[in-house]
Amino acid sequence: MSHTGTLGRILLIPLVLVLLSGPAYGDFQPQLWRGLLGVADLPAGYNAWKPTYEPYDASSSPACSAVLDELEFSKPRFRGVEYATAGFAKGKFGPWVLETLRRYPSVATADLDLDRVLGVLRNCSTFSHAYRGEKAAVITLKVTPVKMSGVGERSKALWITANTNDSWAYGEVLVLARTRGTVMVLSQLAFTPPDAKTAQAVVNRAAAKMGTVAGR
Amino acid sequence: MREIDAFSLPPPSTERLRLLFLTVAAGAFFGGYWFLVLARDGWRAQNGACGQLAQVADFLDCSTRILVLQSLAPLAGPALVAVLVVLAYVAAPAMITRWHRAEPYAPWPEAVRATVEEAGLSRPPVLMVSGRGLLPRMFTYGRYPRYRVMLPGSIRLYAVTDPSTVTATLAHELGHLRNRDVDRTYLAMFAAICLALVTVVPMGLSAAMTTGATPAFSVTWRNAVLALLVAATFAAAIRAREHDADLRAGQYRPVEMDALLSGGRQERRGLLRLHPRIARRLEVLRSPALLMRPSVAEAVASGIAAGVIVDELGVILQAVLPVPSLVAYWAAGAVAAFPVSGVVGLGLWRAASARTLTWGATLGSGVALGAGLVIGALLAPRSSVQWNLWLSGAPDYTAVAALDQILPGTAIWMVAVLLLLTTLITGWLALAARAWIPGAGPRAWRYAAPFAALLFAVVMGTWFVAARLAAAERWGPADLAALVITPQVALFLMLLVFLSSLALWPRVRTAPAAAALLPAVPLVLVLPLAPLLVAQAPTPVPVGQAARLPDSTQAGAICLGLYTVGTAAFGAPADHPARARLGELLRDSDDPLLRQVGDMFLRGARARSQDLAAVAWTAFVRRCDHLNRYPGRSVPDPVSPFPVEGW
Repeated sequence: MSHTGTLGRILLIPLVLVLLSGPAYGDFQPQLWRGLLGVADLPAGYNAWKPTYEPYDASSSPACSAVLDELEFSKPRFRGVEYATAGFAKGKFGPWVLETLRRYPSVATADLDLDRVLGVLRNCSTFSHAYRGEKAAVITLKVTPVKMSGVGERSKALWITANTNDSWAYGEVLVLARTRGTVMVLSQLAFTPPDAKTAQAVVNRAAAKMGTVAGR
Repeated sequence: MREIDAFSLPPPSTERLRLLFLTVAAGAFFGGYWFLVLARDGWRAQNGACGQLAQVADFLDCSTRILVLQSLAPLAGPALVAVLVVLAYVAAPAMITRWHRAEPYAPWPEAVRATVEEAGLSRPPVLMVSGRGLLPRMFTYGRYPRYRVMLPGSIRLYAVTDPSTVTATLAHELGHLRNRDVDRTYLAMFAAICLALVTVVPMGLSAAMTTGATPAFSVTWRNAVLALLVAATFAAAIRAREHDADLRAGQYRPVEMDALLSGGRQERRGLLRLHPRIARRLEVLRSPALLMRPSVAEAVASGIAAGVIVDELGVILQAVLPVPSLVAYWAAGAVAAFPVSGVVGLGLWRAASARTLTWGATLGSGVALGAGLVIGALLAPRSSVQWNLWLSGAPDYTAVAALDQILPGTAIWMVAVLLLLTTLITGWLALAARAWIPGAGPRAWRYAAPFAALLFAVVMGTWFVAARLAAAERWGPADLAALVITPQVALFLMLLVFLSSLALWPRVRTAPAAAALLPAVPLVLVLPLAPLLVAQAPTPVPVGQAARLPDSTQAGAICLGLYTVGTAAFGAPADHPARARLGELLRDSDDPLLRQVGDMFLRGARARSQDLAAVAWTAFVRRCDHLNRYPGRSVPDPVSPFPVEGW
């Protein structure tokens, strides 16, 4: 018997086992990134963009800062949760759109995590990040819940402002929405706030696309 | 073999001492800038008052006045050093006499009297005898016109037992007086000490307390290297002048000088030793042509000093002189270029007059000078840190010519161009020396020196302006060449090339082979412009389409945009629609002065006026600089487009 034949049999056994057992969450689920927004889903002028994370040196509320890092930059990523992210910018100075989809093992886990995040943000009405050394700055962040038309099975909209050194400030519409076991984190940031209609349209479109990959 | 007259031309060490003074002045100037401007929050109150003015024209006048004053106030640094140096210089002779408990030496033995008379001094010195133990050697001191020579206490004994050693040593000291070394030496020594005491140490301490460890270390190590360079230059110049004093003494005491140096003791070796090696002194005494060779180390040190001086002086002159920046930098270059020409150029000229000049030494001097200029730009304390990032009150223009801010490709091209141009100038000097010395003698140097200085000044000034632009905006080589070499500048450069070629005409007549090389000179000089020619830029500022600023009414956001895109927001010279867009954006801003600047841009665009646009741009940049440094008013947070609700 040839060595090639033996190797083929050895490989065949795990392959058959994988096909019989199916994917990790019990049945086939579409790829998560297919549920992200694309350039065509946004108003004219947007292009793909990759945000860069600049770590701060100190925070007046580490818990709030950690949750915002987690939501906007997926830092850190949790084991057992699937992530997909996309970023768009309309020019060098925005507006920017950031989207992250998270697929949890179950609806209950997704809800539990959403409760945890909102529980922290509830206590984050005002806090600040300090950057030291070169380009020293203090950014003051304010988080306020706002009323938007609901999307998905559960959603919450927040208005976050970031004021840098009292020199310039930008606003962010942050929407957290869940459809089945998938959670969407959608940020719309700009120096000049978007009008409500446009912002809502982007949220609706993002939620609709999330629904196509949300699975069970 | 032809007799070499080492004194037919002035020694380069004189100009090296002049460069030393200029380097000390540049270092002290930045010290003054540190203590009087940077460490005082950039004059917050005065700038704040400018920002309160209602009219943009008044704001421009007010901020211009502050800029000029901030450029002039640091002159207090060199002034303080000068006062201390003069005080020390005036007090030193009496203090030296007192410390040595010295008495006038009288009566003079016949051998001593003869030696002093033969020295040919217009005014004989006072000979003093030290009463302080065993003084190992003689030395000169005093100040113009009353000089003194300190003799050891054992002079009376040695004048009888070993008169030839005494007269030879005295002849050497009188040689220093003949070379007019005393005032220069003491002034240079005090200047070096004052630089360390008044600038380097206090500034290092102050920077450590005011800023973080990184900028404090960055500026302190540069200052320390600069102080070491000044000290090493001082020691090197003094060593060179020892040779000159030996030669002076050797003119009328040749045998005694030879015997003195043959049996002399070696001073401890080191970078800062003040005497050359005894063996070397003997070699030079026997063969003065050894002094007539250009020195690569001298060229590097001169380049470093010139780099530091132009970097510092350019900023002052640019703010003070009512001329374009490039011309101001040429003026700054001229201040350093004359001593540079007197060190590097004179070294080449002396070698040519002694027929010891080689092409290797010529090219080596040019490359070394260029390399020194680059090192000087890196060492200049002003360019050591992006001050405006570390100190909120530091104006934007504080950071200049920081080479590490330049794109690597552009930096390599700039260094290559500088080395090429300095080498071309030293090459031209070598050719000019060979063309002129046979007919006009070594003294033709008097005509070559100013022209060489002009060439050095233009090259140094232009290069530092380019470095400053490249560090500020990260331009590529083609953009940089287009920005700096405007048609008028190109015309002036071509005139210089033509004149320098014309100066070589006597050489062409006597050596037809050299004529074939002449057309190559303009071609080589055009090489640095190659990127510009390749780019075939249609306008002098090839920035392409004007960059847009943030679409916001917040002045802070607009200024953030300005800092990000730089002059690209201004657009090309004829891009009036870009100015109109900029004007409309600024007109809606939340800052009253920026709104007026917006109106100026709109008026300039309508009238297609480049001048009005330039004034508006200056006002825009200055206002943003103010807002960035002194953000006095609070910026309101943007309002949510959705109604607020509870958790």
